[in-house]
Amino acid sequence: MNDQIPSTLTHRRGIRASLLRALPRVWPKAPHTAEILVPALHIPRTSKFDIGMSALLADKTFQAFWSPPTVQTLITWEVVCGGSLVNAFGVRIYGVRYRNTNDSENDSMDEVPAPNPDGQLGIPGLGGTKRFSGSEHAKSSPGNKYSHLYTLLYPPPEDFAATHMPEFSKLRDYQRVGVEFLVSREHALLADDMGLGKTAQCSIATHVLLRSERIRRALIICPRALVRQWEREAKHWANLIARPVEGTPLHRKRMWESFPGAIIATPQIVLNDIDVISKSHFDLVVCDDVSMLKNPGKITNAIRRIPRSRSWCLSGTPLENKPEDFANVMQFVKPDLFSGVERGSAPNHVELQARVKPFFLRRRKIDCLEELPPKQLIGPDELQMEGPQRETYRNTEAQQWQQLQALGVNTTKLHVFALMNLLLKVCNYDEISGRSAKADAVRDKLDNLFDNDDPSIKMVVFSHRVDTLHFLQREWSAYQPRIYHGGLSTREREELLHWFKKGSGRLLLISTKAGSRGLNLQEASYVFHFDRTWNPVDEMQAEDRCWRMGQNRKVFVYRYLQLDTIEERVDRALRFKKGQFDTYVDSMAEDTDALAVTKWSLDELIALMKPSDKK
Amino acid sequence: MNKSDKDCLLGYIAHYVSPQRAYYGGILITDARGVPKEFRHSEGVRPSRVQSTLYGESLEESLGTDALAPALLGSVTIKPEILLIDKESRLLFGQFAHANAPAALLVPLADPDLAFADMLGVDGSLLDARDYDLKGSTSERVYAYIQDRSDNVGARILETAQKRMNLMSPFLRIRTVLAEIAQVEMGRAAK
Repeated sequence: MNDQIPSTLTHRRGIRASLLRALPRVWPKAPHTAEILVPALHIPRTSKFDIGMSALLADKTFQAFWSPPTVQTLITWEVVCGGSLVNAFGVRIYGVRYRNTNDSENDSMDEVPAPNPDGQLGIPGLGGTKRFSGSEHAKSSPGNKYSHLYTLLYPPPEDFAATHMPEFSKLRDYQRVGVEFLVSREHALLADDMGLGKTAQCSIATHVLLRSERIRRALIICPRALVRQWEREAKHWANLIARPVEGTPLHRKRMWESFPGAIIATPQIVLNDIDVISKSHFDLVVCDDVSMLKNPGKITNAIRRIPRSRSWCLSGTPLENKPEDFANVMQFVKPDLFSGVERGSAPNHVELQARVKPFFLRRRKIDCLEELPPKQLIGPDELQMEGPQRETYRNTEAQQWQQLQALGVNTTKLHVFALMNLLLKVCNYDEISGRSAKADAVRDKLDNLFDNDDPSIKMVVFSHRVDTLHFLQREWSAYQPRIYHGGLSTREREELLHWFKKGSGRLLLISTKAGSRGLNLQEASYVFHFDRTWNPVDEMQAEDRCWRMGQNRKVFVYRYLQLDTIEERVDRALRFKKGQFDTYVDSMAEDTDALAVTKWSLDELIALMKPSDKK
Repeated sequence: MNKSDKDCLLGYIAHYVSPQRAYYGGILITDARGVPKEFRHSEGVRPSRVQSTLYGESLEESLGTDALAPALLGSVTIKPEILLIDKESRLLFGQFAHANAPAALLVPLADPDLAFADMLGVDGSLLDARDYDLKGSTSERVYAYIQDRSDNVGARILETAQKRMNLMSPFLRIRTVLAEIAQVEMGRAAK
């Protein structure tokens, strides 16, 4: 029979029995001054009984509730001793009403007013207190010490992914960690190695935030060459529609002011439209490629001026030359993390590490992509210029050195660079004779590759000189190479990449400046660095266009240099600097122990210019 | 007019007991995609020795039913259309939930403690028991014992929500936050 007693009555009977047993022990000296108030629904008035009568009361009460036993017979009761209530629980309530980004009426709800300002619960007989302290999810209200925890209540990315992002299930574990890292941070620098899928992680994180209404407007800033690729990858990975900002100034103005969802813009467009942008607000701004942020200039300043709540940066090479670059990048990610003085002269590595750590995530390809075929670096193949090209080089070298000496104390780095570029050009090819030792050497390799019956073998040649690329296109016309350079329109670039990736193209000549960043060229497995760049990061970036997730062949990277020329001297210096850079970059995952100052001094540059003794 | 999925409001109530025996209650209002709309929680309520003696074995039930649940539900500015509890909080909030229909007790189908008694309402009647998808889980489903209104609105809301969200995951999220809050309080007390 007892088993069928509804729980309410069992519960109440338990209270009664417990109460009767307990009271004499709780107040042994004052049994007759304690009162039990029973404002039950079945008893029309609050009655007072002394302890001696409570047993009788309880029995009567119990009987009264027994029939009919319904849930509405809940009683509340109080035990008062010496005027103080001892049985009621004080309940203090905190909380948040989340800002629905699609619902403007909620935007002003920073504080949720207490409906019952006297602090009492609306339930008679309970003496608990009820106090409110509300705040919006991202804002820390001074009244609420828990507001920073409320973001934990958003569903995890996989909850949205199950219904909205089919490709999410294909993410690797480290990529899921990356998505979580971004979603949970307002300030983040994702510095994974090139080819680990930063765009995919960022697209998914952005869409998760949009879906969960934590953000309403997101702006992605990337180089012009990557706009279409971003558009495609966002759609592919996250089912995210990201619209490029383009068209007439009026059309762009409308997009800046009111377009909901995700939009993509180039740094130049941001610079042109900054006056309009600065009157708008973005919940999230993503900078893909930090090179636009590392040097204080017009574009950097424009990007920093964008009103925003969240700032993310994506870069496989967050430090390119010097620690100050890194501090400048962080000025966008987390403004004021470094002071103006520190951005000019970065703090020591221990200090830098401690400050950056909460916002920084870096994973290395070697740790994450075990199945990725290796990358083999070959060379540099040392070549010797002969005949007319050698003669042209020596003449040019002598002339340039004389010019430099004539400048004397007025020499600047710009002078040296300008003269040096002329020498480097001759190292690539001799415009007068049309001879090029390097072009001949690369052609030998290309001949072998094209003779191979496998048409799926594709090759890319990087040079930072567009005139060299045009020379090579003429020289190797039998292979019908095409050139990817910064002068192409977006449509031309798209068409060219389609030709190379999906079509019949096998040999692509790429301007290092225009194509070393952001492109996905897993279709190619042979990379030729026709000349050396001043920044070792550019080379790493360039070859990792091919050596990245999705590559299923071993990647061969060839380098060349002309002996007894400025190329050899630059190469020697670059090797030293790159060694330092590797130590620094690799340590970024755990440590920032090796900050390398890889700036070229004027003396170093002049030393590079000095003619070789060999003739 | 049919409501959109986003307009359905589910109210999840759960509790957490800290190692110091402080009780924390939380109510999370979500839409049918699991997106949070409002969250209220209590600070830790630590029953005194007198209260523990007075209430005896009914302490948790009284604390949940008479104090935490009414305070939480009374504090939300967005009223849920269905109250949801799980087995872990059934003792504290079961009575309150059933007194505020539509309400449902959600139990994963794989729960080895699934008992016939769970299907009984507070008045001893058999509850409407239905099973739903558990998003993100390939095989598991979830049982809902629903104390519904005559128009079956509770069942309809769950039917809608199961397609868009994991019906159980908000309980976990609430407890995660309550545990964090307990940590914050403990750290503050230690100072």
